[in-house]
Amino acid sequence: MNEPLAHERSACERLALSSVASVLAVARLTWLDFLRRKDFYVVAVFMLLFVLATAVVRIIGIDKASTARFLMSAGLSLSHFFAAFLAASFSARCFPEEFDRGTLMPLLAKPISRAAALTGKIVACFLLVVAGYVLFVGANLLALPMTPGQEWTALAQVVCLQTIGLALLCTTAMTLSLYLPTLVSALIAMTWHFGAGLVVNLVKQSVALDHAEGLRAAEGLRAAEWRAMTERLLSCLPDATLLSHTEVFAGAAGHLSGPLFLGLAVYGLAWALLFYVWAVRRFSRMRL
Amino acid sequence: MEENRTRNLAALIGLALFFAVAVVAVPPLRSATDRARSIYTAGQTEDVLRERNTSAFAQILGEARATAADLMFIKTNRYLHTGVAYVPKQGRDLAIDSVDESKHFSACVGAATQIRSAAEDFRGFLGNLERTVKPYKEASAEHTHTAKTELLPWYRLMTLSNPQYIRGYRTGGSTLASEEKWRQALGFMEEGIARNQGNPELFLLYQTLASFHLRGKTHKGYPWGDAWLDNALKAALKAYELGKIQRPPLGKTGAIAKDLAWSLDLEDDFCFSAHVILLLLREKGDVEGALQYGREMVELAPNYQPIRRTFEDLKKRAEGHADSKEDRAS
Repeated sequence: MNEPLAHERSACERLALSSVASVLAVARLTWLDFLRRKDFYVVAVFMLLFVLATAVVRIIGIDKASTARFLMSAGLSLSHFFAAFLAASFSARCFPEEFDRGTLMPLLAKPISRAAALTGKIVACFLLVVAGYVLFVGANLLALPMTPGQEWTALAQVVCLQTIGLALLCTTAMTLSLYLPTLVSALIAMTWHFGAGLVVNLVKQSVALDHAEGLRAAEGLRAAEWRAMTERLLSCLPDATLLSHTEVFAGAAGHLSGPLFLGLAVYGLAWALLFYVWAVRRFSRMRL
Repeated sequence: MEENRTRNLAALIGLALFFAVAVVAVPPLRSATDRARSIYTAGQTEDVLRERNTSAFAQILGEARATAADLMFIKTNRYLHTGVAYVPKQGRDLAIDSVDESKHFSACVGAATQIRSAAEDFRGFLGNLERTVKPYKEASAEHTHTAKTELLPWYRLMTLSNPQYIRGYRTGGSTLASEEKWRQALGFMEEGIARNQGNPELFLLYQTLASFHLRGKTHKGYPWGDAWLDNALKAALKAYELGKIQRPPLGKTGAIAKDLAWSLDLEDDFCFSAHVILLLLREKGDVEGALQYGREMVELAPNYQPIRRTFEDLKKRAEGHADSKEDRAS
């Protein structure tokens, strides 16, 4: 009885191993493809300029802690912005370029499933973006000392959450690129990545304003119910700005509590996973 | 076919479950995040923002700011001066009128412009070109201000994008009040108070509210008539009580009693609220109550002369009152 089971397991294992190998192979190819392009280096040069300027300021002398905090905040925000730019740009270009060049068919003609091809590309984009982000943050930290009150724990939390946010951006941009042109999907993904919080906040505030009273009265809704309903509706939108806590670290405002950090990490990962599954489903059903 | 249908159904159920969990779990997560951020926002007091906006690095970065509200505040300042960019001054150099925040922008004749004057500009032709094509005015010239009402949407936007931007509520409320839009001003400030419960700078909003009601004494258009006295007193008392929690002993600059790094501006605003209480109680005829508060305030802020003077005056009145009582009794 045990022999066939063992045999099945080894077949499963073989399948899993071959899937992982396919994913890694595609990821390696995509990684090399993007490394050959100029995007990463152009962004790195801009970041380097900022870091150099910061280093010069440090040599001249930083007299106030507020100046150091301001520079740290600007450096980390810039690192995040550049990493997000790379994430949107790489992820949104993966498939449309393959469609245009006609290089997808030879790839899929090999024993590689569509899901594995997509996963490989996402993994490569994500790793490249994270490598860039960590490099930028590291360069900032080298150029600028941490001020009293700024905590390593907070920095680790910021980097972790931003990384998850970048994963969400990668999957969002890739999913959109399966429906829309490259530039449009990259722009939408970037705008939503940075502006979702503002939009959510504006909607939340505007339903609480006086002029909404008439509307509520007309629909027989009480203010609290109206607010709760809006809150629930807004919960169904991905909001990567919830994962951005750069200012909490740079402003020396302590660190996030464990449960909150975990909750935010799970939130970001869940949305990234949802977009990934959506992209896999869409790509598996696409007529090429 | 059947397999596809089953997969679609499973995907739909999965999606429904995902959103069901999101609807339940995200609102508390969002409010917890907002609370965590409010700790940071609490540190971003008007003084901190002003110090940051006047730093050399902020000048180099132009109008780039981390928060939309702060950026809009700078833009509003620019629009107020018909596009002319003045070098922001810090803290007490700016001749801040603690009664009316909107005066923050005015009465600054002599303030340097961001585009240098011809006498100080080393750029020659390029400098002339910039002064010609960009809004520019000699620093010594009288400032021209656009109608304040034109700026009101900016205050609305500032507070919409960041409801904890006390500065926006204060300046917007004062601007509305100075335009005699009484009910809108009160509504705006009350909205700010409702959304900033727990904000360490909340006492500043009550202080602005007290100033708002104080206008009722002289402005005929004030819609609540004689109630200005009680309204102003109520607001000033609240400002005083809330400020006392945040104020370090003797209002020492830079010290932190609870959540705020105390500054000269905060001290001014706090002492103003305290002084207003004495004046209003005297106006009301409650000399005993005023004396009681006065004693406490003189101990709290022994160097603030207006409080000391009013307190001395109250003491004299009380003595005079007691003498006349004795005379009548005898």
